[in-house]
Amino acid sequence: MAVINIRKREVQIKIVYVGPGRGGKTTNLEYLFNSIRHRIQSDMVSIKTHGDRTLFFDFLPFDLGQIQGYRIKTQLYTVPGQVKYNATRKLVLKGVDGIVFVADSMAVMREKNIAALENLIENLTFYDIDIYDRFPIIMQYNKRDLADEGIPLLDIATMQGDLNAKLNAPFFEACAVRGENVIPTAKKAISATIISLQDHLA
Amino acid sequence: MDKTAKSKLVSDIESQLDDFFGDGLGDTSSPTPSLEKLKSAVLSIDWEITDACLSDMITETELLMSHFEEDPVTHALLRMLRGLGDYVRKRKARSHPDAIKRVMSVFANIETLINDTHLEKRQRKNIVAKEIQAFKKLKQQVESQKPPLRGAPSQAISTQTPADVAALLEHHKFKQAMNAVEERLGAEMKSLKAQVQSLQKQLAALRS
Ligand SMILES: Nc1nc2c(ncn2[C@@H]2O[C@H](COP(=O)(O)OP(=O)(O)OP(=O)(O)O)[C@@H](O)[C@H]2O)c(=O)[nH]1
Ligand SMILES: [Mg+2]
Repeated sequence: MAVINIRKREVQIKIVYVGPGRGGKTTNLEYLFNSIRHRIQSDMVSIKTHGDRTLFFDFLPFDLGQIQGYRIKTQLYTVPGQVKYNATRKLVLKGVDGIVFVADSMAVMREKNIAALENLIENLTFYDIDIYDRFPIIMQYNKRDLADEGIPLLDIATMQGDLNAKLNAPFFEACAVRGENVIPTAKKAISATIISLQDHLA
Repeated sequence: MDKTAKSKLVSDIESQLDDFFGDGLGDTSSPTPSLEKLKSAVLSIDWEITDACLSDMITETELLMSHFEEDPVTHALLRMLRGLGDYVRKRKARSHPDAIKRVMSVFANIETLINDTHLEKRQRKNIVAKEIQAFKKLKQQVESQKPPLRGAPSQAISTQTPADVAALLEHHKFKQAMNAVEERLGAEMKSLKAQVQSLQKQLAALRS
């Protein structure tokens, strides 16, 4: 749950990037960090193994400025996507206010995407969050660029059917390595999250 | 919350997000090449001068140059950095000892120009003017270091005072000593790196 400090008129929101291993979550945060680093004081923290796999999480905090008199402090996290790190994933999801689900568009990743979404739903249930009950979640279908290299991709209709039929969340096609639609995804996630907190803000 | 209050909230959020991230128009165009890569190339040169890190530095500099074509001040420093990189790549250990110092300084100032959006025009120009001065000085020193061209008038040699020659010798010896120290450090670094790697492997095994 967001930390809302009425006296200091400050709101802290936590958005977590979730999805199958190697799907591009860390790449999303790295691109965001590079685009905003000149205007934020904070640094990005990544805890990785000596390859580039996320071991614990990535963490990118920044101060968004004022909205309706409230200072909005945003914290973006990624979880490790690898199946074996579920304990860590669950821990990072504690207190989450919004989700970005980064799906991997490669055809071979179809089952992994579905399993990752199921795992997310299960982990959120642990925190009494019902993802189908107006919970802010954004879908990102990443690695669309791989089509140019002749790699078989899932078409958007298939991905929508697999992952978003029941949720009906806003979705973006993206190429995180090139930064395409990375910022729009983050913006949408932040605004959906703030709007879901509206009753507390009012 | 009623409907109008909600739509006001939505538009407030959107404009704040646009202010913060930019209006998103830049999203589909090529992203700003990051200074990070250049920085790591420059830092590794400070550590050890290799062909690989020099050509990394030159490539990254050129990428940034095409991005900053419209900004003559930053562009000037980038050109200077590329020039210094070319020089060091050609001369290697024989390059002037101040050349790497200049590389560091020019890079630090490029970083300032790009990151510090509050700098006034005058301050930006000042930064570049100082670098140009230092660069010219280095250039003069480098030129006076060069052996006289074959067929050049012999007076070129005779103008060299014995003190100059002594300084040159000193300098040459100094270079040799430096090279020896560098070699030694390089070997030690290698063994340290290997140790760190094996520790990381152990740590990873413990964690999984
Ligand atoms: N072609 C292509 N590669 C991508 C894209 N996004 C990420 N990658 C690559 O996919 C690999 C994994 O990306 P990461 O961002 O580390 O993935 P992750 O989801 O954080 O992975 P875990 O930390 O293991 O969960 C990296 O080599 C990225 O460069 C993309 O849009 N297109
Ligand atoms: Mg990661």
